[in-house]
Amino acid sequence: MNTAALPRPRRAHLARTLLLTVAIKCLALYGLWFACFSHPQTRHMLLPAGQVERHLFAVPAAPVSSTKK
Amino acid sequence: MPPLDDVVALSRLQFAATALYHFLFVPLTLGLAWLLVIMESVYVMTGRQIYKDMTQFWGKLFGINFAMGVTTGITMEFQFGTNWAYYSHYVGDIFGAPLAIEGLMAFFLESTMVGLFFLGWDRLSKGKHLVVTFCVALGSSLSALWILIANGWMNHPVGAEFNFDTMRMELVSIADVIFNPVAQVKFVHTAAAGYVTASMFVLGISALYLLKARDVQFALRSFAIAAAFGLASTLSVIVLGDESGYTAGEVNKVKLAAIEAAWETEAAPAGLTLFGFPDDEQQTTHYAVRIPYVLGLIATRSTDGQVAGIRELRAENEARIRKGKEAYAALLRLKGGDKSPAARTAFAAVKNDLGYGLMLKKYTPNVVDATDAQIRQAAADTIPKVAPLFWSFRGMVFLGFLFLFIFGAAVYFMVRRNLAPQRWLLKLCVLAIPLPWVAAELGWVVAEYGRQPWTIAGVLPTHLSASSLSAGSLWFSLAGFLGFYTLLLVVEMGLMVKYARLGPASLHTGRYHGETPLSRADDHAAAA
Repeated sequence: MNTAALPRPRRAHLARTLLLTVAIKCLALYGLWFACFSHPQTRHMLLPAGQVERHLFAVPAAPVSSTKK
Repeated sequence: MPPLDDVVALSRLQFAATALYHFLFVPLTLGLAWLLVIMESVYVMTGRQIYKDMTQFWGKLFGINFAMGVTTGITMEFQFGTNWAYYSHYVGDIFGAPLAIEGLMAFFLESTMVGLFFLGWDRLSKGKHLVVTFCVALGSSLSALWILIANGWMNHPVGAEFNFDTMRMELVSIADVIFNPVAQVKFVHTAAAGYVTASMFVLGISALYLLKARDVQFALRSFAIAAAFGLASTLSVIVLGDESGYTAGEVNKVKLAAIEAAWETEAAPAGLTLFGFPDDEQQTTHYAVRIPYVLGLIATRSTDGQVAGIRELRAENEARIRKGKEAYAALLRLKGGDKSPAARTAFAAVKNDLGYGLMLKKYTPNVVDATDAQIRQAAADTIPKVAPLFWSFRGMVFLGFLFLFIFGAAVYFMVRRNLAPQRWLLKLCVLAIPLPWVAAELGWVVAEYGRQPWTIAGVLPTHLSASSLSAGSLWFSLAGFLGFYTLLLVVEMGLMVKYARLGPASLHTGRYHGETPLSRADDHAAAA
């Protein structure tokens, strides 16, 4: 088989490519998070119980609920 | 294709797309890490340089996949808080621990050890480096374990109870969550599928080298390890898949019935529909090819256990929706301020069916006044569409048995020392490289689509789990995800193809194909 056409990367070429890709990926992820996900409705996977009640009940219940923090 | 402005459908599409993309990277990491452990163990035991070269070359491809895949899963956690606020609130008390532990495993064990794997060859002794490689494999498997514990809980929510004060599920027993049978069987099945993926990857690329008669000794040893590990892993996947089906028959009866297009409850043991065209409208399977008794024997492991059919399960769910309506009324009473022992007792008696009552919210804002027609509609919704599950499952199983044939034939001809003339098998190995990914993605479709209409089985319907977002923002973030992941995939494919073409010559040891005239002579001699 003729191998003359095969590229010959330098030893550290792959490491540099991967580091650059990971850095660009982190930046892209940060951009995506900043643009679309930086204001989540739930903080720390917790909503006020009243908001959940309004979502689940047709007629909001009387305001006697408590929220565990 | 979801309606353009359906927020729930768009949120589902976004989560499904990111999860499926993420899982293109995961299985290779899971499996290749253990193949590296095997190759390096042989190097440590025999001291033969070729096994070190194998560990370093396949480790290079592992590194490419790891670098591309790492953090692609974190985008799903972004979506929890933003797209799935109510789901996130419901599961927050349960998922906190597994997701935090997974993060620790991924970043402090797996990523640190991956760094040591690449930088430690000249700094660590052979034995210590092997321990590092073992920790990479262990770390990746443990990361998967914690994620699948969380996923298993969504399919079978044990060890938690609904708290009407906080309006969420709260952890009662972490042991029950960890040792959830659905999670355990899901983990071993998924991990074994990852081992199959990596084995096919190594087998296929090694077969390519053998077809081209280059780096033959290197390729033969890689091929042998991948064939043996792949055969053992495929047998494990099939056995554990059977276990997964049995567990589904115990706790996810609707999913099992939909996968098997079991419209009616048959006399035990039920027959298996091998092939056919399920028709959701008419609730029948056209041109069904059936094998008597097999489904009953597989799903119940008995000759007298019944597999519940879809019609029976829908009737059961209708009854649960009626009780759920009572649960909803009892919860309203509690939230209205009546926390008397009688009110608590009334709710406790029916609270396990509250989720079924919530299914009615799709049809009426006031669940307690739901009509019989609305209850029947909601009961029909508790059955996922059969055809996609039926075909996805059969596609996955067919591929599983194809892998068994390929690995079995590979081991057979290796043991007979008669591999070189089997060019058909080598070509098949190359063509089969992408198929384990297809099988894995089909498996996830079966697992997740089969859980519908729930995000948490029997507890929280999908249509109540999503946040109140605009369709425009979801389309925007979906386009961002698809563009981002597609770019990553293209970069990964480009690097993989480039380094696979280079082969072990990319290690610059001077011993491999194209590096020296001597290595070319060795190739030709070995091929001859």
